Amino acid sequence: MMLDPDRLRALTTPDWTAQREDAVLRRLQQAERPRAVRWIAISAVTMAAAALILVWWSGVWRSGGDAAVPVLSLDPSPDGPIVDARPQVADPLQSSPSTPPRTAPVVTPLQFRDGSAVIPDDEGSDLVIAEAGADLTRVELRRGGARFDVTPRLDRQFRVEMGLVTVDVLGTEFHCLRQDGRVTVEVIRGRVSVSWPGGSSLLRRGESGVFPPVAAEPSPERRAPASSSGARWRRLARKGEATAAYEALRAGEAVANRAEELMLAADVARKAGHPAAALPYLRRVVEEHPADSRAPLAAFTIGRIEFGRGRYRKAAKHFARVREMGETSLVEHALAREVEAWAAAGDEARAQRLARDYVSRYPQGPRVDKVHRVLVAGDH
Amino acid sequence: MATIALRLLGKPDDVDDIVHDTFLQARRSLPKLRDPRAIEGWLGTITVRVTRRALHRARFRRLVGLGAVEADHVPTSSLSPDDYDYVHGAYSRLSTLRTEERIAWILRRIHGAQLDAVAQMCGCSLATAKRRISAADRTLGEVAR
Repeated sequence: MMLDPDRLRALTTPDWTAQREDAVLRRLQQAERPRAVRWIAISAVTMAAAALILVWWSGVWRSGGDAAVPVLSLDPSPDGPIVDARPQVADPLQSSPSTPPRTAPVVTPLQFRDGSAVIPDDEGSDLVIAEAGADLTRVELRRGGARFDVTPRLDRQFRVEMGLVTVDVLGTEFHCLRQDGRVTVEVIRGRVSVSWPGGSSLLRRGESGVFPPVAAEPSPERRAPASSSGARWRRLARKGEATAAYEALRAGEAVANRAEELMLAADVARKAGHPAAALPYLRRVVEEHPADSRAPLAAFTIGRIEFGRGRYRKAAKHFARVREMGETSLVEHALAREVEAWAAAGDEARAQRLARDYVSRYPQGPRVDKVHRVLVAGDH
Repeated sequence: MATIALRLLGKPDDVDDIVHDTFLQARRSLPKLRDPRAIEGWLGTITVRVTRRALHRARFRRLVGLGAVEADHVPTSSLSPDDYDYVHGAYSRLSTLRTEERIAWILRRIHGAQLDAVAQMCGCSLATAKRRISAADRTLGEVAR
């Protein structure tokens, strides 16, 4: 008897029914319940331990530590932490009490819950998670080098700060090394935006650079404005104190007309719970720095904010603007969001047309199900 | 998942268990999934892993005399007597293969997966997947002759 794969294929197709699916789901819920209880207990113990460490830590600082340096922000976001910072919490416990906690070496990879990872080069590398909010993850590389493998997520920015140099990334893999007052950035996959006072640069896969460039290194005179009136809000923002930074901005502190600074100010407003106040900063990035690598993200963020405010047409126009700015990783998502926005605005014809465009261009796209629903709704 | 499990196991009564176990494991491993677009292949890999364990357990039970001695088959009321006999015969022959070869062969020949997808689901290299499929082809061919 010869085996006929086609016939076997036809005869081994399960009759999967809703009843069977329900039965599996019920069993899953039952199986997960005790596990959930167990995790709640583990989480409670972990949080208690973390609280004890922080209390002890703050005591050490008060007794001579450098209290001005933020080392770790466990969960400043009401939406829950993106990052699992437990390896960092564990290190100070292992160091002797006389060791300043903020210099404790981080030798274990930092694993983020969204799959992103930061792998220090060696024990000499000093990096800390300065912020782990819902829409911004900020890592400070203070010494040495590390490889960053960042999972693409549109709803949060991933930023690496190395003194004067900042790397902004949506999703990619790259390596950073601080050496002799400069930062070497090498992109393994995707692309990153590197900025420094007075300039920015876009690095693509396989490219590398040393920043700030020799010619662009800020002179003391150029650094001076940082210590002027605008420094306070920025310092607060970098410490993760968004509300205080926002108040400083409202009090009239200056924001330099640079894409990096404007994006930071927009972040401050959004994180302080005033998304509408972020719009002027974002608009300036789009209008006055359209060639900057952050401009598409600024336009996309405007679209998201306007959508959240129920201004669907404005949202749709900004999502369209993202697409006009050229081929970036945001284009696919912008098109899907534009479909949603036009549908919400009641312009079914335009939503349908764009939905068909999306499905034909991105048949396996992550938002294809949502876009399909718009198409199906239009068919009825 | 159910389709892969049924084709690998040859027993519809274990399929629900496989789907259940696959979901459980997928939920626990979800943070490791880097690219959401790869979820289909990722679930396929977990399904194969869970099913492989079930096949090993079944073989062990048979060896120690705790399980059914007869070969795996697909008894289902929806099959005609002829189809039932055909499937029963086919899975009797497939049960003579080594588990890894059986999995690779079924995924490639019956499930129709691409070679790289077979390798991914089996957790082996492309060359190993090809070797297993060829070995299974030879064994089944010799049996047929």
